[in-house]
Amino acid sequence: MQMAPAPDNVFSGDLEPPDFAVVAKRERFFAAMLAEVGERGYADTSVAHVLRRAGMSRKTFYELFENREDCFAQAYDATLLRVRMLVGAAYHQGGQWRTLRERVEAGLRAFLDCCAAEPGLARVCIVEVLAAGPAARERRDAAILDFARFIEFPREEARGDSAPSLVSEAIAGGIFGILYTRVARGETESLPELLDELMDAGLGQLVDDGDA
Amino acid sequence: MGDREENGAHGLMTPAPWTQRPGQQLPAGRHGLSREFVAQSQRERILDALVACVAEQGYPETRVTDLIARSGVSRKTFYEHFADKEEAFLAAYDASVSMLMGGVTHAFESEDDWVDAIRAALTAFLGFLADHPDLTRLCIVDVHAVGPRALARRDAAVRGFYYLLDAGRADAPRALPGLTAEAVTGGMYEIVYGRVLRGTIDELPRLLPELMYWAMMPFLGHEAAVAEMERLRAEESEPSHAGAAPASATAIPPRRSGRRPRAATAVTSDDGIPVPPRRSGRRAARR
Repeated sequence: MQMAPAPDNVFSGDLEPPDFAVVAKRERFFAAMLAEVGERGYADTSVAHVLRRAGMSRKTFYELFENREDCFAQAYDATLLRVRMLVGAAYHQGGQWRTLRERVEAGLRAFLDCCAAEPGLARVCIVEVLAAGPAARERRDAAILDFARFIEFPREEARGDSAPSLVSEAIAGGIFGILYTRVARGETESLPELLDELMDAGLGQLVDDGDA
Repeated sequence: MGDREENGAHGLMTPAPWTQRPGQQLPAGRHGLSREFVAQSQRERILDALVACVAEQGYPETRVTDLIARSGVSRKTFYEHFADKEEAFLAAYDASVSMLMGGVTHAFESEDDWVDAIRAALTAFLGFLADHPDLTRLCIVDVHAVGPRALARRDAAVRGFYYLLDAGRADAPRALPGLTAEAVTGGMYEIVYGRVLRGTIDELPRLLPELMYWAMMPFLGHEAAVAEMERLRAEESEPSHAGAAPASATAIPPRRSGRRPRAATAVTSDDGIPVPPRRSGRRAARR
């Protein structure tokens, strides 16, 4: 299974190519970690479970990660990055041709579709992350603020600054809370049906830009 | 168990509101105290210890041994009260939530008008959290790391707040989706959660104006909610505080425009010029 290290002479200078062998190993651990946590919950997932599922050695694991918490936090980051890219792409598609409301709605739709497509992953990233220690909690907090930014800019455009910016965080949190309950109950696949109600529950009002 | 004497002197233990004498141990040996009184005191001490341990090291790292050492009860006594640390956690959670709900409900019921009632309830809510940071941490953050029984309780506790908000449906200018109360509550939860993680629980009461905006916006519309917020901000900056306290010391940058806060009821500005409603008083746009 040993992969040869990338030859040194391919790229010269300081620009090192990524070590794809390492990238692949990390991804395998990420996949195993997310699958195990999805099945048994974070509290009951041990490094041994992850090793067995990934078919990798303990030594390799500890070369890449400090501990279980570190591996989970990084797996969470990697997943969130993908989700964020999908949401961002949906949000920006069409650019200025679409109203703010349409953009926010497209972003939200992409997010809900993401969750529905992979209920196990959604459970890990929405429910289990809150049980996975301080590092994971902080990352989730950062993710919420990140999603809040999707709302913040259009909100400023639409409303000037009469609505407090705390509200963006509250909106992201409100959506998160609603998803949390549904996902915990195992209703992840029906999340996209909530789109209209979510837009209507306040998000829509905030991003309506008077000209419609 | 050598530190029995020292327990009350920990200094780290924030007294939970259910204790009259935080962390204090009853005298050993014969005393005229009733069995019930002793049991109650032991239970309170265990809950105090749990709150303190969870605040310091988090729930997963807290062991029954820690609770025993900190509360000064014997192992046997601990297990007479609780089957395991999860049960102790649930007991502390239930006690905290009932106190919080009690205060919030009382504040809500003491006002007739719904907006006043929500404001009172929210003030009580934020005040409780700021006064009891350890309990807040336990109820908001650590509850997620305990297991399904704790999650079910959290779910029920959050639902407990919906009716306060749903009472405002009658005042709403339009039919509101069923999710409204859930969305508003979820947003509040997130704001509190973020402040707990960032260690700024004490700023929560100062967020009242913004959070009132958040709670009122779906029900009353943007303009009325802004009016309420600005009225609260003005009220906040007026009181006798000598220092020039900022109108709202939130983590969020202050509003860029220097627009003067105006009272909700006043239709004229300070110099008597009528203040036009923002954006021609438009309600939620429909399409």
